[in-house]
Amino acid sequence: MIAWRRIARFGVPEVFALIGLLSFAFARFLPVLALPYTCPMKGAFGIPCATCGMTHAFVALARGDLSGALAASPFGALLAAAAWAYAAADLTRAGLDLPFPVLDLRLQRAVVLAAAVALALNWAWLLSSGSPT
Amino acid sequence: MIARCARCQGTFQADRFGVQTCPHCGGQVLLSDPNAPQGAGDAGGQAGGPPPPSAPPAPAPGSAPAGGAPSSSPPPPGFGPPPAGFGPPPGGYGPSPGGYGAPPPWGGGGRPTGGPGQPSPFADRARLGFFRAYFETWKRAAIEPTEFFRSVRIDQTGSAILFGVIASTLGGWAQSFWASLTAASTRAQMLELSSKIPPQWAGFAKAFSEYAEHATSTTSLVSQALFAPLAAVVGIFVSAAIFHALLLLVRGANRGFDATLTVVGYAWGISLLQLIPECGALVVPIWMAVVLITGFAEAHRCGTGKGAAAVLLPMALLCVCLCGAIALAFGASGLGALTGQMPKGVQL
Repeated sequence: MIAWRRIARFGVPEVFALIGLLSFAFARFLPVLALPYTCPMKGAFGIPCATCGMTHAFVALARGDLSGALAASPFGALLAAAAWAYAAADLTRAGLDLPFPVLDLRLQRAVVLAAAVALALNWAWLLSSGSPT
Repeated sequence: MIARCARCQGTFQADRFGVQTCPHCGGQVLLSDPNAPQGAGDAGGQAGGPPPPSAPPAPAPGSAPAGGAPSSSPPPPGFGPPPAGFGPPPGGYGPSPGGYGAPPPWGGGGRPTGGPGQPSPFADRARLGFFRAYFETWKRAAIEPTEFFRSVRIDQTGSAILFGVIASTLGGWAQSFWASLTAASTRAQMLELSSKIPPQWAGFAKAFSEYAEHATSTTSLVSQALFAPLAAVVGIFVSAAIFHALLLLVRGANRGFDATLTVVGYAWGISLLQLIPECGALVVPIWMAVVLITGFAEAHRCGTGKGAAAVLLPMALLCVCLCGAIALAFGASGLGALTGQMPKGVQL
């Protein structure tokens, strides 16, 4: 299921780790919520899309407000936590030159399917709660 | 030692013999010990193939590819070709009985190929010259995507990413420039358009005009221009991750993430069309979608249907969401008319 491999010290996994780190820096230090952006679907119909509230979730979690992040978008809070945990773990792994966990194809598919189901559940939750953000 | 995956043709470092998991595609690769007795397994990590006529000496770490990639030294005599259908003949091996692609142009010059095909002209820019290599690659990726992505190497992702970042950055700068020239008229048009939107969509009209106002402000345009290279890098990686996830869902990710990243990188080259004022930005998404579909179909060898599903599934889902939203909104307005109030979260 999972194989541990020695890979190049800086490769594609590390770029994704840096993107995760960058998302934390943006959410923590830049006034991203001040941008006058409204989701077109919410603006037009008053109904949130599946990804509504993710920016609020990232910003809230970056500032340590877990309940605010979960209220804005549970999937967004989960994604932010996963992205930052991955960034920290992978950069540590690369720094210590440890092997990288490689998932087999079946496990990769299972992860993607779980993420898709989580996104759908998140949308259902946003619709039922009226998207607080 | 370096091993090659029979499934995606990617190469990776292996420190032992036996069953391994390919780090590129997650496929299982059997690396048999060349010093093991005959019949213990097949050589080169390709299950089911005939054993080599004679066992080669154990490869030195990091020098000789166990799966058949070219090495810096000539191959040992008597090491037969891998079975047909597993990609190109590695440089230095004997003639293939069939099923191999064209040999790489550098032969057995020492670089592991990691897969069939040839480098894109842009990956060969040191020899061809930067501009010639860039425009040759752009022409092939945009106009002949089938041939280009069928033959391009997938282990040179750095060149593909650089290609896409350059095009997207130049396109982003051009768009900022054109937008700055037409900012006043764009705002006036948006205001006029929002005044024509039915009053029940006043919220949308307000958000629309506010967004247009902000997007055409000097601060926003300068920020867009400054962050264009960073946005391009992040955009290429994130969109490649999303497309790869969708390819996994439709069982089309046959050659690993490197193939997806290569296709996305070269497809982002279409962003260069944003240099054309007005119509450039309209043409880019459609042309890019065509190149992505063809690219995934060819690079992953998964067929146009799966390639199209991976590219169009998000758009199809968006359409379904919009239709659902419209149905919900109008259903809610009918319900509201009956009950005299709107359900929570619905503002019409």
